[in-house]
Amino acid sequence: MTRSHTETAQAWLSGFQAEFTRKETDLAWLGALRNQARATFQKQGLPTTRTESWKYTSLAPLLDTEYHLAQTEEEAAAQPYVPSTEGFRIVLVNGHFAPGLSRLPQTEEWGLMSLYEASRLTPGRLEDHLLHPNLESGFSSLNEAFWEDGVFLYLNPAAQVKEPVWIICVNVAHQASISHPRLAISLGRHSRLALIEYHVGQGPYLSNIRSTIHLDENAHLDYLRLQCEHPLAHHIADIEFTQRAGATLQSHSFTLGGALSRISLSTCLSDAKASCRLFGLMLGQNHQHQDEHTHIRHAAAHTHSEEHYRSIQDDASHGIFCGRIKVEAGALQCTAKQTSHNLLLSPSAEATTLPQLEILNDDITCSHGATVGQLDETALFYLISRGLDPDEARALLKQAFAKTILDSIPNPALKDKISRLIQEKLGQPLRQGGAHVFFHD
Amino acid sequence: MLDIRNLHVAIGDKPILKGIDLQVKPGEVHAIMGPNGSGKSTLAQVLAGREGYHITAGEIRYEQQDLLKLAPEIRAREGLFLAFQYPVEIPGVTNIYLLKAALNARRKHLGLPELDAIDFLQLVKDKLKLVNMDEAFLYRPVNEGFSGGEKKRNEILQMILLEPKLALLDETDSGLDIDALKTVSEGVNTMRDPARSILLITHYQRLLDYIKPDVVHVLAQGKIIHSGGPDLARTLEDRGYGWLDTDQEVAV
Amino acid sequence: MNTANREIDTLINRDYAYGFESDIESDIAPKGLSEDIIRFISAKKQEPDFLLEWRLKAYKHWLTMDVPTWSSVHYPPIDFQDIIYYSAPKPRGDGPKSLDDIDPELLRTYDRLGIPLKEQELLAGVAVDAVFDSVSVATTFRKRLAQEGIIFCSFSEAARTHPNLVRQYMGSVVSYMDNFYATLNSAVFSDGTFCYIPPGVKCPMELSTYFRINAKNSGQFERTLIIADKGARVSYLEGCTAPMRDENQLHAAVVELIALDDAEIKYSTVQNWYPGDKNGQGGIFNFVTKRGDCRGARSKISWTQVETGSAITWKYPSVILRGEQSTGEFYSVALTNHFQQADTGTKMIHIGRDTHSTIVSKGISAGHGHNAYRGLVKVLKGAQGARNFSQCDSLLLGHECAAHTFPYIEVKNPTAQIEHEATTSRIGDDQLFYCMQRGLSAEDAVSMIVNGFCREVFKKLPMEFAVEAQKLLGVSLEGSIG
Repeated sequence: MTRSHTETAQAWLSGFQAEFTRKETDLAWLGALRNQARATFQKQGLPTTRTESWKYTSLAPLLDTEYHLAQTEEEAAAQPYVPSTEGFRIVLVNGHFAPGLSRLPQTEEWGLMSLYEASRLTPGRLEDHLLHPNLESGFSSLNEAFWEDGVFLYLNPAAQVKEPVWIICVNVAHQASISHPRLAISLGRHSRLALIEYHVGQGPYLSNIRSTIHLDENAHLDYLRLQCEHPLAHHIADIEFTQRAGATLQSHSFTLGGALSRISLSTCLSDAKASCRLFGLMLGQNHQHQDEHTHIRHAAAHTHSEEHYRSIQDDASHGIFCGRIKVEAGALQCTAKQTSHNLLLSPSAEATTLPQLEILNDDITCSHGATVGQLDETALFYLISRGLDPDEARALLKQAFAKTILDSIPNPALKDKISRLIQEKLGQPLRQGGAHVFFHD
Repeated sequence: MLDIRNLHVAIGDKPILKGIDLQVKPGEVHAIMGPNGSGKSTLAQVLAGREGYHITAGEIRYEQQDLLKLAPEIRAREGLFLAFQYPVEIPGVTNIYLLKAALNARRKHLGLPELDAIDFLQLVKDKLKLVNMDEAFLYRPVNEGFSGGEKKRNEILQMILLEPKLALLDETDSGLDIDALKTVSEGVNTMRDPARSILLITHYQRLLDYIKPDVVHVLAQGKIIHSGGPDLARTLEDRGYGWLDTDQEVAV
Repeated sequence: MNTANREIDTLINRDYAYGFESDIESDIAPKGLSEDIIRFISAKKQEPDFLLEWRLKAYKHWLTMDVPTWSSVHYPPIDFQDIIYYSAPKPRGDGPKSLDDIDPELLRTYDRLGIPLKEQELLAGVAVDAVFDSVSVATTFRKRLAQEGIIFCSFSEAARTHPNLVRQYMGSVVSYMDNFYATLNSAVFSDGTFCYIPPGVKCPMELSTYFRINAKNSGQFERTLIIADKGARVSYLEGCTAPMRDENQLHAAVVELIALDDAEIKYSTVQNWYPGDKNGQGGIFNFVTKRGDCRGARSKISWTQVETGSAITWKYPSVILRGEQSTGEFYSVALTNHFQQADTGTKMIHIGRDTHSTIVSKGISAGHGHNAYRGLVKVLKGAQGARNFSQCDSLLLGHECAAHTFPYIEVKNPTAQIEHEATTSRIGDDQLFYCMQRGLSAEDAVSMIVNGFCREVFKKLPMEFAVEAQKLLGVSLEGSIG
């Protein structure tokens, strides 16, 4: 017997409230914000398929689960899931900061630290992130109310971070548990950063992530997220970018793991000449459900966006892409271009795509295109007639379909690694969830 | 026909043309040559009446009228024709529709009766042969999906049909292979007439192998720095533009 | 400001040409909606019992429904008790309807609209059913059509003379529970057109309905039902106008099309309801449910619409592609000017194998107009080999207008091939200059470019309608772009 959304929301709220460990130690201002977020959640509840933006993602699989707030875990238990990476990184295990697994910088130029620590040491720097939260869904509110820890990453003006910085979220769950990693990232004027976010774990957890990422004037961010959650896990993410004048964002979202994945990524191009390029690749297998919503808001003149998402769905998986582009009335001379291409490989797989344009002035150039189809039979035949094994030929065409997204990764070493990861996932007849092994060279 | 005196033109605050003097008499063919960025295309656009150019000084008289006071469509109806360097695509509007609308707009302006569909079709079919184009071409949308050569031939077709008094050809030779160049040149040559003037704007001398100009001007840094007979083009081809000292007085 | 906008801005307002009101004596029901009103309408039409029962079922269901809020259009709440649900020109005498019995003022009205009802003056090859407020006042060429076995008459008449056909097909495509406005229509519909083409018959002429709202405070709720039996073919045209009034009037129609094996229905609309004035005062709320069912194998349903009128247009002519190898098409031009709003598009539901659909939508927004394309392409599991191609383009004229594109693509069969493309742009300065350099006035150039933008759709209209549509677009633009 499935509980209703309202019953589940109530059960979660009272359960989490009892388990929440920070309530004693929180500073008053933070406690007040959490109370507000809880009140908002009380009003919102959990999203149902009657909400337009959740139309294609039913929470039914989660409703009967008695989730507990994820507790701290031995770093040794998480260690196997942490990839070997170069440079600085911060690791969260079950939503808690894991100092022993992290490598934090000691520099004036920029900082990478536990969000909870930052909230005690330099609360003023967090105002932009925490004070006026935009709580679009019940999950965002839950995160604001119950995050145990997270990441605060800041770059002072003109700071240039040479090596990519990793944020690694590991969940090790022995029972149904929920973690709420909260990421707050600020890039100062003319600063530059490459950031990689990696999600991985073991067990029946629900990772409910919320990120606010501010790019000040002329800052540049290369953002890449790799969702490689465990096959039993659920991944819900709300990522909010804001971009000031001249700020440029390049984002890559790879969705590979998890049973249910719902990612909402939005950016507001709030001042002139801000621009973004968003890329996404979803690979669905078995009964995976992958839902990605993006929203690009052109709020100022001379802002530009480009967006390319691709999805390959196999077995009985379902991939959903909803890309909304809004050009505000005063935002003259903007350009926006969007494509969504979907490949269906099995009779039970599904693809849904909703490219949306909302244009409120005439001095713009916008276009979008979407396709849904299967592997090109002619190309397949051509390859086979050249002597390729049919499975090999199919794998090759799938990889070719993914290639345009992979090719746009700026860092060559990373591009190489992710390409091999994708290749493996597409070519493998036996499908396994965790891709983490791959990163241990 | 055309009399340009001390023409200064700027785009925004940036001066492009800095004192052009040019007189073209009926029946003459002039070529304006010059390196990229010298202001050749600006001159063509200003003559046709494109917005966005500020005339900061000087005047242009065309057939005893103040050309700068005329709206672009009136200039066209008065017989000034510009063959565009980059002809524009207009989706959904067939070539024949535009041709007929343009021709009848000019005829009406001249007090001539408008042509009906049948007479027009006959006329346009005759002209098609001159530019070596197929009739199917008439029913395609204006310039949409045309190759570079087709676009340029289409410009020449429009010119032949509209029978302008003053034809400006802006880089009509660029992007053409040798056969297309010949076709286009033949089209232009059929237009040579004691009552008609032609102004060729080109970067290369090769067009002038097919269309012999009466006068060649060299435009550089917004000024005509040299004018001469047809041989000047050949000299430019051999020696480039570098030997012309840009500060040199205009020698006619 | 660029030339395009300036030209558009300086074009003179032209008035809505069909805004006159006719002084005609009418039978009018009291304002408001209740079971009694429904019984009154049904009694007026001498309907069979099953129809009254159906209406009442719909009414009961309607009472449980909420006004839909999901579309992008905005309007003040409608007071459904402040609408007259039945208004009919009084017949002269009780005798059977023939043209001689019709109020001469009514005939003059249709003459002014360019729809002469006297057969000798009619356009050869177009049969017309004229609907005035709540009733059909005349249907022409009936004898000629009857020779082919074609039934073409008002809906009320069909309910009396062919109750079995009506009973079998009415509500089989748009159920009485379908949506708020369709349910309201099912309860109160007053008249409309019925058309049945027997097996193998290719209808020898275009069939057409001309809708006219005249009475004040009245709503129009017509219902159209067209059945093309096996191998039959028909092309049907629909036109609409209304007087200028500063109040909003509601038009909530239902159109159901059924195509059996190898049948083909082509349905063309030129919708020019009064759009309101340039400040957004008045105009028709046009909330229409149109749906076709390709029930038979190899059947084809094609919707073509040119929507230039109405203060608000809210309609999604759809095709259910049930039969194998059936084809659905939707060609649309929607123009919004001044404060007009349109939320329109289509649904193509692919159920059968090898079903194909094509969507071509051209939205033009000018002034403060809001124009949204909303379309669903759904491929169900069994729809092996389904194909869809959609092209949705928006043209914006002026800084204050808006254009939205909301396609929904849901695919559950891997052999489907779906392609969707959309662009949003304005008339380029370079395009305008090019035309002007060839001697065209800016006004003619804008009109030519806009018509070119719509060309793919106009090509699909029957000849006389295409010419009409082009003119209408010119007029609507001139009016709006002020």
